[in-house]
Amino acid sequence: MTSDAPALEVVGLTAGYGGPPVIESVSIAANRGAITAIVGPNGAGKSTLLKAIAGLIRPTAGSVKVLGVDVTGLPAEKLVRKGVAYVPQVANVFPELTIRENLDMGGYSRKAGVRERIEQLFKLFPDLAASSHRRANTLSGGQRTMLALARGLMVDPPVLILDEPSAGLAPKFQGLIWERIEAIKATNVAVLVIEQNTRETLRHAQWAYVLVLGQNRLEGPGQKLLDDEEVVNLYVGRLS
Amino acid sequence: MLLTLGFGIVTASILALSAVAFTLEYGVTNVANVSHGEILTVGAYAAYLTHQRTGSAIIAAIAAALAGGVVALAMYSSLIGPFIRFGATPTVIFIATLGMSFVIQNTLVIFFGAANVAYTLDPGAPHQVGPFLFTPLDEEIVASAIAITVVLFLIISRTKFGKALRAVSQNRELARVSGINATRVAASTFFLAGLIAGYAGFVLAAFVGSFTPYFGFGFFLITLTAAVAGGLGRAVGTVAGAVIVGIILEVLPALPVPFVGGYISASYNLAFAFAILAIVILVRPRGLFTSARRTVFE
Ligand SMILES: Nc1ncnc2c1ncn2[C@@H]1O[C@H](COP(=O)(O)OP(=O)(O)O)[C@@H](O)[C@H]1O
Ligand SMILES: [Mg+2]
Repeated sequence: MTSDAPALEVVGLTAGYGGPPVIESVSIAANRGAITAIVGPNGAGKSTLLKAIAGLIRPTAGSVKVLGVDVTGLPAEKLVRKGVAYVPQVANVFPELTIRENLDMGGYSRKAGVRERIEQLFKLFPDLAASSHRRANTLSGGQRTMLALARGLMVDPPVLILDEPSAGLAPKFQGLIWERIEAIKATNVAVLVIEQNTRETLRHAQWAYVLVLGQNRLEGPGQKLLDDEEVVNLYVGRLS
Repeated sequence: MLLTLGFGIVTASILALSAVAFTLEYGVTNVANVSHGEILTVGAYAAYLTHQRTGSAIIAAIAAALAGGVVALAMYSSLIGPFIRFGATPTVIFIATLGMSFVIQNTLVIFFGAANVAYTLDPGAPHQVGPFLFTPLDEEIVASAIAITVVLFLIISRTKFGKALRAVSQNRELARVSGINATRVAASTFFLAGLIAGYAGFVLAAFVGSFTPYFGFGFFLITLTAAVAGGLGRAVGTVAGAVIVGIILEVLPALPVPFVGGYISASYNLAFAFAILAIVILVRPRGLFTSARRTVFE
């Protein structure tokens, strides 16, 4: 692969849950060292797209390439070994495992260096280091999200996929989460993120896609979409 | 009274093995395997047949465990696993495994008939252990149950497989995206649970002295009571639940109850088990000891 090829390239992806397709012929790309956002109204199929990329549901058409390698239809447990880490929106930690055990699980597919990677991540998430023996279900919402991010990062993924990381968090935590996402991006990771808080997301995104009714509607640099009031009002919602 | 309490400890040990195996199966799939009792039944037949041919109780025990492991693995790979992958609801799987249970029972009837098979091991001479009267057989059953439980807890808490097992139990999708092959972990867990349940079938048959193709199913209902009381899917709670239920079931019938004018017969065991189950579900649907998330009906 050449250095300017996207780390994640999705072409014409169609997927659903057995009934009619929920997403149809969706195409997106995400580059390393950049934040790529997918925005769109509730029920547009954003989470479904991520699940299809992560291998949790099988696409019925289209292709997914990671670092130039075709990974279409690979099951989730194999996909993580190809460099894709996926952090779901809810149920994104193992509730009865400790912080350290959660991270161990995140590094399950690593051949070596689990301990060292945990120490690295503890530097990025000092809150987690301080309470590494606490069970995940005793953590606050913000800490839990940090743990979910760190679990995903255990494999040192070239591609990190986040489903609404700041949903349901207090505003001060939302800012913190974005700080961490920017820090992760700076380590040459391709971050693909869905968010409800669209304004904030578009502010951080180098490139953004608007997904409506399971299809690509628009795309462009985040800031440019944000400046286009009409786009925001039509597809994203006035206040979000 | 102390005699029945001693008896209750042996019953509780066997119940603990069966219940902890059931709770493993439940935990890793989130569905109740209603054909769990048949693993014990198959274990009993395997032990009996092997014992007849080899004359060795140890080989019989190993045969029971292996047969149980293979049957449980087959239950998972042929029925439960595919149903889960196709997204069947727990209710559907509940009914499918109930069907499986009848299929196995009747297959055993075809091959071995429905009559009681007498299976007795020499219990040895009873002797005093603290306040209780135990036979060497009783002691072996209790000791082996404790040993198996300890090894199982070490596996669950210390090994990579054990951690993967807990991860799959708590969040299957997250386990998968972490790189864990959930199907393989569940299959291995069923095999492990089957080893334990098959062995439990052997000791139960030897302790009771006889068995039929339906014997595991009856014991499954008591197993379910113990597992629900202990908190489904939770190994530690389940063992505690089994000890309590096992002892209650042996001691309760021996208590003098004035209005029936004597002792309640031990054959009311199942009625008592259901009474306990009903009370637990009403009062603490998530188990006696825990604030676990799930009940058998979720
Ligand atoms: N597990 C599922 N089974 C069946 N349909 C689903 C499932 N998850 C989501 N859907 C349907 O897919 C559509 C898109 O949902 P989703 O991808 O979650 O949208 P978004 O994340 O954009 O809000 C919705 O109509 C939803 O009802
Ligand atoms: Mg969503």
